[in-house]
Amino acid sequence: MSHAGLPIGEIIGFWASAAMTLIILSFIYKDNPVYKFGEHLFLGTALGYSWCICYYNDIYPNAIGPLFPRHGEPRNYLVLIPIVLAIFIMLRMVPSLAHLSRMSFAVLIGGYAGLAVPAVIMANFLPQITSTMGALGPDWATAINRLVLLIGVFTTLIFFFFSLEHRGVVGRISRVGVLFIMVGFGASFGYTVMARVSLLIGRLQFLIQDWVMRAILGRG
Amino acid sequence: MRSAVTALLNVDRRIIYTIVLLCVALPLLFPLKIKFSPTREVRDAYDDIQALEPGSVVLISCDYGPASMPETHPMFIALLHQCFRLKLRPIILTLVPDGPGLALRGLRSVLEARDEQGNLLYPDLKPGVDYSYLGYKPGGQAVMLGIGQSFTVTFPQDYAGDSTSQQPLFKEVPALGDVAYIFDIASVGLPEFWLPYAAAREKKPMSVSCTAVSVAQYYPYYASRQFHGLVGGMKGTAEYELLTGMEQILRRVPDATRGMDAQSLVHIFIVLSIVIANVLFFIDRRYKLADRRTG
Repeated sequence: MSHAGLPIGEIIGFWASAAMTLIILSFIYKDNPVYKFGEHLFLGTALGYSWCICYYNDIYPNAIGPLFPRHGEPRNYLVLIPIVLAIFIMLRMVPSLAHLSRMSFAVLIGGYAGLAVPAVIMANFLPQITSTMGALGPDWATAINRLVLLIGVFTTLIFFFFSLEHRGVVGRISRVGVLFIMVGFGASFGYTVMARVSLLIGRLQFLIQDWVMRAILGRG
Repeated sequence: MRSAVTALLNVDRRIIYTIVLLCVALPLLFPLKIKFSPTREVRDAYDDIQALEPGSVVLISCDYGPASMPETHPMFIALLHQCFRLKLRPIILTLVPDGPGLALRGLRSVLEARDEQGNLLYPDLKPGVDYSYLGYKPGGQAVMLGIGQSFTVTFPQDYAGDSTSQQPLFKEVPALGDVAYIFDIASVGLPEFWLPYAAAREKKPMSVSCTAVSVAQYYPYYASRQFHGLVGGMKGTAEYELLTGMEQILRRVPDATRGMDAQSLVHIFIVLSIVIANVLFFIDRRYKLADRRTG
């Protein structure tokens, strides 16, 4: 135990996190060797973590475990089919055998398309159309909102309708569509700024509350 | 005048970074306590959970990693407190590989939360009975479809390695169709998969908490009532903390709420910067046009 009853392991963790945060933030000033070190350390750690997660959650339980069970369960030879298909995908790196990967992709695409098409139509496509075409009511505010939404959807669709030349009436409608798209981009940009600022707030909260207050000053 | 305009238009970006840093750091050290109130999107999510019968099961998917922690993790904490106070039973899982550690940390912090006298807030909660933490499973949509058939087949063991088939919670709630509510806390695009493969398929109400980057993408689903509630970014999470009474529960300003002062100051700075930069741009252009006219 050390400062404020924190275990020494946690204090080391705070110091390591704080050091990495400051190293990465040093890029704001300019690119430097310490930042490069931090970047590579992060990539290496992330890759190692991903490999462990992938092995223990994916490869072992779905491929190795069923073929070589530890507790005397019967072997499940059916997993050889997906294992072979997975190996076929890897064979894309061997030009003479690359064609075998098509079989794997055919299974993947067919399976996912079969799953996705009805689900997406029922959950995304139809409800969104129904929502857009909703009645103009029950009050004035809702009616105006829905009217604006309808005009936005229609004009934006016209903007992305390339079979007609964007001249005359079509051109004017598509220009209105561009305005709606710009408003959409503006909203997305505003939210993106908010999200990035939140990340900075999170890091500074850590540096001030956890590192300085708890690990260095031993408060809280 | 002209040299000042040119200098301001070419200001070193490091000066702007420093101002942003001060706008964030100062309110964290000296809170301004700027008031804010919950929006309808957040209140809808909160009211839905409040309306659930005690004992109901809520599926919480923690689909976020450390990169979005300030926006999403406090929401998980607030939601868990709300569930446990209402005697709801959360089933927690994650479909992103960097999620299991954070979800476990959040769950532990809530289970170990204490009142002013130092007593545990939720002393009687038992894993497998009052809540379950299933951990991470790769596969995304396959997992959603799998738990639609059976929790115990898709997750034979919980995160602690205990068999789920022996747990009372899953005997009562064997599949997704038996849960009362789905809540996805996400930093990635998984809400768009939870909707068709879980909520719509099983006809279950669903709310989403997401990063601010994703909010605009999910508004159409909220407008069509496919998402009953939408908690967007740190601001949405702060509103949820306010509704849940997290300040009273934790006896300190909760994390997302604490960030709101900084968020507001930075936004004011950015808006002012955009206005000033545009005014300077037009002044500068007028100078250049005048130069061209005079040759």
